[in-house]
Amino acid sequence: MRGLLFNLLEEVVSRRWGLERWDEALDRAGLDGAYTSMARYPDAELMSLIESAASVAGMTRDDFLQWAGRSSVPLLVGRYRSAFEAHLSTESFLLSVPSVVPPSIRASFPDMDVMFIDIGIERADSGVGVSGIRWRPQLCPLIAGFIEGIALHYGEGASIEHKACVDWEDEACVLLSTFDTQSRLSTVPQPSPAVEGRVPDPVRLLRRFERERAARLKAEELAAKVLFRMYEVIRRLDEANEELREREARFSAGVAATPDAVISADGEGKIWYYNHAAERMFGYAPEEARGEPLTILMPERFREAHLRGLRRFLDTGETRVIGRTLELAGLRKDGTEFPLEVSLASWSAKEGTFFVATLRDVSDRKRLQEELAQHSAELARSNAELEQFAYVASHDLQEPLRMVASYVQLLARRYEDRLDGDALDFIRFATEGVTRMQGLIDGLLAVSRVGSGGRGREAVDANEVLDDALVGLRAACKVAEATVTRDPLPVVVADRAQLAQVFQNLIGNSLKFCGPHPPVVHVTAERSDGGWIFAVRDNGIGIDTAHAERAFQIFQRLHARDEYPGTGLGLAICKKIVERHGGRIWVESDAGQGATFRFSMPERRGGL
Amino acid sequence: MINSNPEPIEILLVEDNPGDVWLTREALKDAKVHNNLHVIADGEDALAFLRGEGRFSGAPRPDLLLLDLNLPRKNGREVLAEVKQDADLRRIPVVILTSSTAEEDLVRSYDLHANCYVTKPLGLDQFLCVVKAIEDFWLSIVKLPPRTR
Repeated sequence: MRGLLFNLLEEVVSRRWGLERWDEALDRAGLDGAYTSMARYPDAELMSLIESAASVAGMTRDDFLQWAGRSSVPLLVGRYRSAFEAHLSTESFLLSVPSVVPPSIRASFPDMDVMFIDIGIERADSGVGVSGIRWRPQLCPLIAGFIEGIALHYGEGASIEHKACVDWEDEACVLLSTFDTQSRLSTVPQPSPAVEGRVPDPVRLLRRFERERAARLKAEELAAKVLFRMYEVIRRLDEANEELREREARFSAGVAATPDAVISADGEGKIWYYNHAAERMFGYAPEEARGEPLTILMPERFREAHLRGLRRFLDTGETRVIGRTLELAGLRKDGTEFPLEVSLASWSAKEGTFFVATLRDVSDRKRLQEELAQHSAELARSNAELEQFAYVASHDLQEPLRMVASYVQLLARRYEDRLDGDALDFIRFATEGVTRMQGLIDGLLAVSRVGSGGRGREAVDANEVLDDALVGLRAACKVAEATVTRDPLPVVVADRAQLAQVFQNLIGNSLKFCGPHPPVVHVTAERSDGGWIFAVRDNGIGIDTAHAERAFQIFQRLHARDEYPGTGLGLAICKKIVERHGGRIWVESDAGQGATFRFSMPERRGGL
Repeated sequence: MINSNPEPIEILLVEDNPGDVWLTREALKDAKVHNNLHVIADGEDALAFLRGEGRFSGAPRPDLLLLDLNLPRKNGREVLAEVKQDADLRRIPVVILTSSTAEEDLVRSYDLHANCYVTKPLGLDQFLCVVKAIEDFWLSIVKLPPRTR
C-alpha cells in the first residue's frame, strides 16, 4: 500500500502542474517556498492548522512554513529515484538536509549532515522508529547509500562516503541501538572505534528525544493535516480557477467580439489587454500593443495630461475621468487621428491598480453632428430670411398694391362718364388682380406663420376648438344654410389656434364646394394607434381622388376661379399644421358623393 | 355737427406717400368737423413741427397725429417713441395709419403707447371709410385734451 501522503502529494502535483509523475514535477518545479506561498491563500482552516503546527513545533509560523516547504525540496535527487521508488509501496519519505531541519530538532543532532523526516505515516505498527526519524530496518542499507549519495551531491569531497558512513552509522547506531530495546537489532552496526569518543550517550540522547517526541509527533501530525488541508485548498482553488478560466474565456470571447475597443492597463499605464476592435481601431496588433504604454494610442498633446492624471489618481485617488465618458482623440499606428469616446473604470487588486477603457470611434457621429450643426445654422438663416420675407410681404408689398387698387377705382369713379364699357372692364380686371394678389400674400403669410407658430401646444378640448372655428364661419354658414353637426370630440395636445384653423379651412371648403344642396357637415373623431383621427364629412361635390394629392399643395386649385374662388392655400395650410403636429391629412371621396377629410393627431407631442 | 367749437381742429398727417396723402385729404374734405390738415413727409420734420422748431416755429399744435410707420430719415416708430416720452407732447392722440399688417408692428406700436393702430385697407371705398371712421371717433366722439401751447 502506497503511503497516503504520497498519494496525496502525487495527486496534488498532477493536478496542480498537470504532470503524471510527482517526482518529475518536484524535480522540475521544486517545492521551494510552496508552503510559504500557501500562506497567501486565504483559507482560515489552513491558517489555523499552520498556526497550531508551528506552535507545537516551537517555531514561528514563518519558520514552520519555511521548514515544511523546504523540507520537501531535495526530495529524491534524481539518480536515487528508482532505488527509492521500489520501496515506496510501503512508505513514503520526505527527506531534509539538516540546514532546513527545525532548529529544535537539529540541535539534538549537532553532527548530523543528513536526516530523514517522514511525516504523516501510520506509525504504530511500523516496527521501528524514533521520533520523526523512522524507517524499516531492512531499508537501512538502501538509505545509507542514499544518504551517501546525497552527501556526495552536496559536495562533501573525497571523504564524504566514509564520513557519511561514519556519521550515519554513528548516529544511526546510536539511534538504532535505542530501537533495539523493542525491535530486532541483530543487523545494527556497532559504533566504530574510530569515532567512539564522539558517540553520544545513547540513554541521554534517548531521553532528550523522548522529551521532544510528543511535541514532534504532534507537529508531524499537524504537518500532515496541513498537507491535507493544502490539498483541499488547492483542489478547491483548481476548481475555482477552472471555473474562472471558463468564465474568463467566455468573458474574453465576449470582450473580443464587442464592437467597442476594450483596453486594460496596469497602474503604470501599460497595456495588458487589448481586443480585436482595438486592433481595428488603432492598427496595432494585440501582441504589439501589450506592454506598451497607453500613450502610444493618444496624440502628443494629450499625453502629458494623461500621465499627470494617472499619477494624481494613484497618489490621491482623485480623478476627473474615472467613471465618466469623455470625448478625446485617438492616434492610429499610421499616425492619423480620429475622434473617440472613452469610458474609464478602475479597480484595485493585490497586484495594484488597473484600468479598463471602453472606446468608440465617433468619427461618423462627429461628422453627423457637424453636418447637423451646419444644417441647423442654415435652417436658422433660412428661417430668418423667411421671417424677413413675411415682414416685407405684410408691410412693403401692401402699399403699392393699395395704390394700384385705390387709384384704379378712383379713376373709374371720377371718369366713369368718359370711359367706355371696355375701359371699365379693364379697370375691374386690374382691381380684381390686386385683390387676388393681396389674397395670395395673406395666404403666404398664413402658411409661413404656421411654421413659426405652434409653440403654444397644450391639452385642448377639440369641442371647444371646433366652437372657435364655427364662430369664424358663422356668416358663411348662414349664407349657405349649412348644418354642422358633431360627435363628442376628444381632448388632444395641440396649438389651439392652429387646430381651429384646420377645422375652419376644412368646414369652409365644405361650405364652398357644396353643390346644389345646402351643405351638411359632420365632424367626428375616433381612436387610432397612438392618437386620434378626426374626420370632416360633407355632402358636397366631392373631390376626384386622382387629384386629391394636388389639393394639399400650395396654390393648387382644382376648379376654375370663377367657379369656386380661392387662393389654393386652405388645404396647404391644413396639411402644414397637421404635419407640424406629427399627424397627416388625407381625403376620401367619390366625385359627386361628398368628401371626407381626415387628419390624425398623435397623442404624444410629435413634430417640432 | 357734434363739435360746435368754432376753432378748427388741427390734424398733422405724417405720410410720405402722396397717393395716401391725397386719399386722406379727400376723405377729410367732407368732414363734419372743420379741420386743418398739415402734411409732413418725414419723421424729423414731423418732430420739428410738433415742437414748433426751426422753420416750423409758429406752427399750430396738432390736436391729432396721423402717423405712418414707414418714413424717411426718422421712421414712425421713432417719432411715436419721442412723442410719447415728451411730457409736452404725449397727450396728443396718435393714430398709427399704416399699410403694415405685420403683427410685430402692431404690438410694438401699442407698446410705444400709440392710441390706436389702423391698417390702411385695400379698396378705395374702404380706405375712405376708415379715414371717416377715424375722423368720426377722434374729432367728434372723443373729448380731446386742451391745447397747452
